[in-house]
Amino acid sequence: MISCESISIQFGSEVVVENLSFSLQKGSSLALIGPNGCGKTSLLKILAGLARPSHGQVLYGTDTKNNHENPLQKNLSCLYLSALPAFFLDQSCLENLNLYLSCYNKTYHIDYARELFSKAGLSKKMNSPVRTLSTGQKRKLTLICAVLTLPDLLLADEPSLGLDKNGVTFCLEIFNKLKENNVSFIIASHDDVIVKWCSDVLPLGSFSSQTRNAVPKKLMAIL
Amino acid sequence: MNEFVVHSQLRWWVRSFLLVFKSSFRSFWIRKSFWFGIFVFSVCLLILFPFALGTEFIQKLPVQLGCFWAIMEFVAVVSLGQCFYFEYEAMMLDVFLTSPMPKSTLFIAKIAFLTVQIFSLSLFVFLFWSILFHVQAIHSVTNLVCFLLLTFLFSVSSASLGVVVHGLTSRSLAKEILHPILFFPFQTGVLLGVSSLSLSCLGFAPLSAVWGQATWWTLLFVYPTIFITLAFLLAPIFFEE
Repeated sequence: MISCESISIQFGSEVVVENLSFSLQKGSSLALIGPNGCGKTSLLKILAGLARPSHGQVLYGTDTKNNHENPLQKNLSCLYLSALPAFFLDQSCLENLNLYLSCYNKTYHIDYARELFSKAGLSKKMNSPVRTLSTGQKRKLTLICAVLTLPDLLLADEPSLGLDKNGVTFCLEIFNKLKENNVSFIIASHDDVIVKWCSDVLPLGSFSSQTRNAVPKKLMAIL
Repeated sequence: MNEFVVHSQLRWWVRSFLLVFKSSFRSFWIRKSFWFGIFVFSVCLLILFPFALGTEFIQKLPVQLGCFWAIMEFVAVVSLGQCFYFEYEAMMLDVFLTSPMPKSTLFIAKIAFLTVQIFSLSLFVFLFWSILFHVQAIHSVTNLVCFLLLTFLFSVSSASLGVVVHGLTSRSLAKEILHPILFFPFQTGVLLGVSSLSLSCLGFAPLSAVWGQATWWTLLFVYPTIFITLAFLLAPIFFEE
């Protein structure tokens, strides 16, 4: 579904990621791990089409003869959840949700949305401005947007940042729902629970000298 | 590509355009103080100009027109400075750029919204300008229509140029230098065009004897056409890091 070929990320003279290649199949999940500044967020931005790598290319699509350098050209819907939740702060949760879904040309059933808000503990906040939500509540709202948007590829940067224990459980519940719908994941995280949930782990930074390819989780334990 | 696909793509483009336009308008409506801030400062400038230039000098029509377009330039620059402010604040720009929406809709809708914003401000500035400066010449319907058309062309040209320059420079490390370097030389053409044509409309000789009215009109129509086309074509590389 998505493959990186010899990607390098360079800031000035500093090479953050060098000659990285991996591929991700539909419905699978990949965790990007590594110390701060190892290029996790930069790599996610490149995969989302927001930045270009210094070298190498990202190809989207399953057909190797008909790959595209842009996810949109392949009609691949990709949702990028940044480390800071992205919402218009003065608009209500429902208005922001509608905006996300309109961007992805999707509709939803209000009862299902209510159920998700209730599970997230946000029932009373549905019509409140996002500005009144805490960081964790905003994070839960991004997850609700993700599950209703149902993209082909979810790129999440620290999706559990600011979430309490129940919040992380809610996050995994949402991820499982997405996985049931064959959504692929690439997640940058420092949270062990999230990393363990992923089927594959890609170590960046100091680990990257050991391997350049996505390694099975069992192998990660050895690394 | 069959007709149905083209039709559905066009519908999706129009829907995305309306979505961005509506979202810009909604964010702006919630923060109406932005609009009023620019308007109040423009009116302050209108009051201050006669003090700075002297009451006799300010009664000359070319000076009055110069004051109006100087204030309009201020209105355009401040409005364009805030063009993606709400999207940056909300971090929504990345959501728009990674969604399946055609990227061009984001920029074309922004040009449309900024045109409305600058033009709406110009109408009020124009009203106060004609009252405070006792501009008699503008009372004829033909002159008024000509003046409003020039104000609209100024708004759409400034908006399209501003969005293109912003899209190209906003994620550059040298954006503080690049933005004015790219914006003001091009903007000067628009400013000269509207100043010259407004003088001609009111019976004065245009600024340049070499360039007649037709040339200035052509310039004012060509400017937005070029920059809207550029916004459409360059949209895929705008905001790229």
